[in-house]
Amino acid sequence: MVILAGNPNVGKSTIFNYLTGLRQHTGNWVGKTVANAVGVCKKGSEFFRIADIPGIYSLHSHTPEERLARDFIACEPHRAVVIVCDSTCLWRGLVLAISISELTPHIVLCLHLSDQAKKKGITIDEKALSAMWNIPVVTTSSKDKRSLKQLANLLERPIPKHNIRVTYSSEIEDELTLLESFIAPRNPTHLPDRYLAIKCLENDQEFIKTMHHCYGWDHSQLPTVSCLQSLAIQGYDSQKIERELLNHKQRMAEAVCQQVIRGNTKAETPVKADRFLTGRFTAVPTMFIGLLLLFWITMIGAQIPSQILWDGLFWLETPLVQFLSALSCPTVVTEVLVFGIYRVVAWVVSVMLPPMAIFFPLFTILEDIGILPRIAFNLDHLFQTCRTCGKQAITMCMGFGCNAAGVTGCRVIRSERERQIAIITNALVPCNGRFPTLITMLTLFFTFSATGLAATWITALELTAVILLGVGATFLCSRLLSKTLFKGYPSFYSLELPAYRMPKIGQVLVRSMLDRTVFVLLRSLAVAAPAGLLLWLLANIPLHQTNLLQYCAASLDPIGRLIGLDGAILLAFILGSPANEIVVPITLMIYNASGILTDYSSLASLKQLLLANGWTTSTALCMILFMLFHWPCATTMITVYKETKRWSSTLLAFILPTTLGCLLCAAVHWLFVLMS
Amino acid sequence: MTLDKATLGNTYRIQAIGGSSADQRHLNTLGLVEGCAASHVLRAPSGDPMAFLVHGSVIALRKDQLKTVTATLLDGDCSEQ
Repeated sequence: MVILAGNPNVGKSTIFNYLTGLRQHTGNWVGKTVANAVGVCKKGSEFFRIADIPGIYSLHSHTPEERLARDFIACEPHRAVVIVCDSTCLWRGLVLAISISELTPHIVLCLHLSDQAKKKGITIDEKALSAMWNIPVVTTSSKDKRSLKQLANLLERPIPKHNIRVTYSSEIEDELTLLESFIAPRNPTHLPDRYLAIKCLENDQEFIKTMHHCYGWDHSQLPTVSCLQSLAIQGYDSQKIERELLNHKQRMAEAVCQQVIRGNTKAETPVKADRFLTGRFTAVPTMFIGLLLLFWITMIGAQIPSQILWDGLFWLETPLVQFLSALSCPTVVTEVLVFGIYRVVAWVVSVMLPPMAIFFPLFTILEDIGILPRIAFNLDHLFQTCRTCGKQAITMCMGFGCNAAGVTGCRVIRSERERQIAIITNALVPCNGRFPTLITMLTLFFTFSATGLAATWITALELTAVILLGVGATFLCSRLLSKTLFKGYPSFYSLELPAYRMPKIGQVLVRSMLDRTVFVLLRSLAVAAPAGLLLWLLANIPLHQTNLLQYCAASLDPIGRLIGLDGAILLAFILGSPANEIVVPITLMIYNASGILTDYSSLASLKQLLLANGWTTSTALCMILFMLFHWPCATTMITVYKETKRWSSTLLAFILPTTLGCLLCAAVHWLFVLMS
Repeated sequence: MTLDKATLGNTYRIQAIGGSSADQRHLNTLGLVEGCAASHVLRAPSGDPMAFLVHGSVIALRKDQLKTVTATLLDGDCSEQ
């Protein structure tokens, strides 16, 4: 097996995808890969296994990723480790290469992102580097498929042993030699004696335990304590030892850099776009306009496909009924199938799908370009005042795509306290599944007799305002949580701003549109089918002179009215917990007394239906607010539990948005009552 | 001077890194090592965090963290990447 290692965000996953033909999602921010992945490379005549480990800066076991990566390299038998470096930032890659070289004899250096280096005028003398260390060095770029093929060919052949050797200070070297002499005769591991000696001097208990666990290595007979004591006498406390070990590697990397890098060494000026995006007066307007444009494009793009699908699918109903009756299907089953399940699915496909299929790819493109870290950079100050991690900006943005994905993305936040806060508040921003409902409601009730293009701009503006409300709530709740339940100090925070990358638009569009389309269709079928069935059942079980469905809606009505909604809407939210997309179709179904959607051929008649059921502007506004702030969907709740393994956090994730929603809706409702 | 007082566009040479050992380690790993050069290239709209070009990559750090890094202004071009 070959292991792919490297700094975060250099493109390891892209290389992994190329070599294995797998399609793991890559994105332009540090921390994207959070677990190991193993695949098989079949590029040439032989095939071999290849593993992709999370990006790391060094091999100290101070972060979970580093521990994972280091243990993987130490315990998994492998043929070679490929260290993927960012050619524009070779120093960091070399430090990692040197660290890894102490662990394993066969390494390959992959100088990736070479196209970017060329743009900056940096050239690296790969022959000199290769000769210096006796390792194969390949220059690659994801644009140049031939270079990747070269890498694949190289990996098929046996890799020679490198001759990299870091020399530490004489005091440390003496102790290392002593320890090595004790380790050598009884070393059951595949690791060099020297590396084990270094780990002893670092007093890395975890690693020693892992070695014992993996190989049965017994370190109890080693004179580690006396070595450390002797170093202590010479002025080397544990901190100094660690610093020394790192410093020597860094200095070696620097020396090598000076020898092999030719070309531009001037400090570069940041891209004009960065100055604009983070400028004192331009940052906020740029972000606002960007968000506005994103929504406007989504709405405009979705209008026509939505209309076509809506007309088409509802037209299909009559032939479907005829077809089923031709098969002598009992009326009951036809009703359930067509007016229950099919109607819900039709709604989801025509109203929900087009905006989602447009928004998601656009969002992915922005992610690929590298906008997210800049947003995190701009918003960090606000997160600082909330005493949470600035990376929450990134997870919050991911929540726009899907709340469950946002929760999973919180793994990049190191501090446990900050991670919990980020997870619990993630559902305060609306996900892809909620946008279409918000758009529909805003279009129906809040366009104030504007038409055509003007109407879309107004709706886009309103949608942006709603989203900003969600963002504001995230800040407030994060601050509240960090002051009450999750008190603590802010942890170390650093953010890398990677260079902008041209996204592979074609690939993104195809992959995410397809993914999203298929995913939504499948999920709507999986959720809508039982929901439709359940609704039909409830609507046809008689109870107290009406049916069970109406009875439930009526019971919930008092609570609903308190917060400006009604029983039907509340029931729909409850039944729509698996997926937010079906909340509105369920509401409509409940409104119809016999449990079947009445015909509506356009948005205008939909509005009439709602008004006929007692909706006012206040109801619409409360609906929007409640859609924004209510308990997370079932997938998200399950993900929250999986990520936190705590019932308390999951409960909080449920209570927080719901309470906020109820309070806000109640306030709006009573405001309207007072004003009229 | 400490790096939180850096001026946009200037390059500095790091003299010392303070703070807790864990923080020092983090900064070291990112490339902020004694003797290396860091240029202040970007600043958030509120002034915090501040982004520095270190060893070829742009790293943003909070002012709290930068207060622990002492540096001197570098004249002319920096000689390392």
